[in-house]
Amino acid sequence: MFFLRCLTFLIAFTLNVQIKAKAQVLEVPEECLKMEGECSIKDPSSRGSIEVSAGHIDFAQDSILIRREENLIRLVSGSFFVRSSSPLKIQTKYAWIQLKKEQSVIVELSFDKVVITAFSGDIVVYDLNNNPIVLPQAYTNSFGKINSKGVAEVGFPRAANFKNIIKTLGEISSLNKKELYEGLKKYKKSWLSALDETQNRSLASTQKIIEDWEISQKQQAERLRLEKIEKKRMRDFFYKKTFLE
Amino acid sequence: MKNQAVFSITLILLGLWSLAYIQFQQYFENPQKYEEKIQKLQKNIAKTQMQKELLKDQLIEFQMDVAKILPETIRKSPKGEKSYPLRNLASLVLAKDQDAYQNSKMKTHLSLSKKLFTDKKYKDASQSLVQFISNYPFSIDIAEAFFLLAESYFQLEDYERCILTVEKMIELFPENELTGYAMVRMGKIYEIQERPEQAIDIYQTVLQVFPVRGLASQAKESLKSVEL
Repeated sequence: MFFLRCLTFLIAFTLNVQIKAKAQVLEVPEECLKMEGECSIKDPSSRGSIEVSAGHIDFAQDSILIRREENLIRLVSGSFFVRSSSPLKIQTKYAWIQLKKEQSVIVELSFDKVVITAFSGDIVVYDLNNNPIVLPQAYTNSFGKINSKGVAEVGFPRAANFKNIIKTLGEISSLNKKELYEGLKKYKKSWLSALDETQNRSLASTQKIIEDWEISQKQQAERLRLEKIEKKRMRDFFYKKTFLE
Repeated sequence: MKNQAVFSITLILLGLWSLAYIQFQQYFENPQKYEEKIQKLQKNIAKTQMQKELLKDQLIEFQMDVAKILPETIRKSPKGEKSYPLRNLASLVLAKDQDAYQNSKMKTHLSLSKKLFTDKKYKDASQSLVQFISNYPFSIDIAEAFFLLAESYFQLEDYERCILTVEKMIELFPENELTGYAMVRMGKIYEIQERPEQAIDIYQTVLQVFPVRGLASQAKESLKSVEL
């Protein structure tokens, strides 16, 4: 017994228990988050959040953002949930957002577009030509690059996909369960009315698309007819060249 | 006595344990160092990737700034060679429009070649068509370009090149109607060169492969004239 006790004591004393330390948030320049000035942040291990004086930003794992000033943030890549406590400007590669007090927005950046969803409040988004686009609560829109005519590519505003919103918020939001539930409850109300509005608008735009399609079909038929005439002319010409000359 | 024995055994076991522990400690000490090194390197990689992303973002920001002012600047810029640097910049910034630009370039090139051909400038037409074929080998109009090239060579009485071009057409577009027409032209060359057997072979092949009204009837006519 005594022997066992000694052994247990020794094992317990010499056992080297290692607890894997949580990977730190990457900051460029080093440890800039605590200081003033520009600071780029990325969390490669899990979702993260930062607090600035004008609001709070939650972001998904591997997302990158730059804190330019206390009320100016640039989102570089990934998914973000931004809540403002006072006016806050958010820049992205294809649009910028001017948040007023107590507004929140979900921003998802991908290779060729930036998708912005107004989670609470009517959000004002500016495309790359600085045209303001109001995104009512529960609406989403996508923004793209500037094309060869110098015009920014902007999508069609529509009701956001509710399931995706829940999923994204569940993944990145730092809100507690109750806050999240309350937020989603309010959001759902706006989302339902947005859905009805979008439906009506979609009907009108579908009608327009059908009309445009019919016109383009007519134009295409005419083009084909002309092409046929041109081909026949060329064939006759070749035939004449080949056999009759 | 019994206690002394237990004490001695415990002492020996403790000694052995200490030795084993030292051995283990030495053995596992090195991996720890390497693990730390790996962690450091991984952190460096993540940081480098992050810096790369930041640079990419800066580049996009710059590209978009340029894209905003470029169309207006190009409109105001002098035409011709002086506008090349601006157009070069535009091609970098707006690479998405590259395909449409390439298609329109292709169509323009072929139209120009056709124009030269219909204007009976066969030498210029042949040069332009050779360039078209080498620049746009995947164009949907490539068979037509080959046919016009063969026809240009025929008009220039460069029969060798004409035959080579028709052979290439047979190899690349065996079922294209234009190949049928070009083959009849090949038959004509054989007739000119007084090689009637080969001409007959060609006309018969055309009859079998291309039972198209105009083409087949002409092949038949040609066949009759050779057989006579």
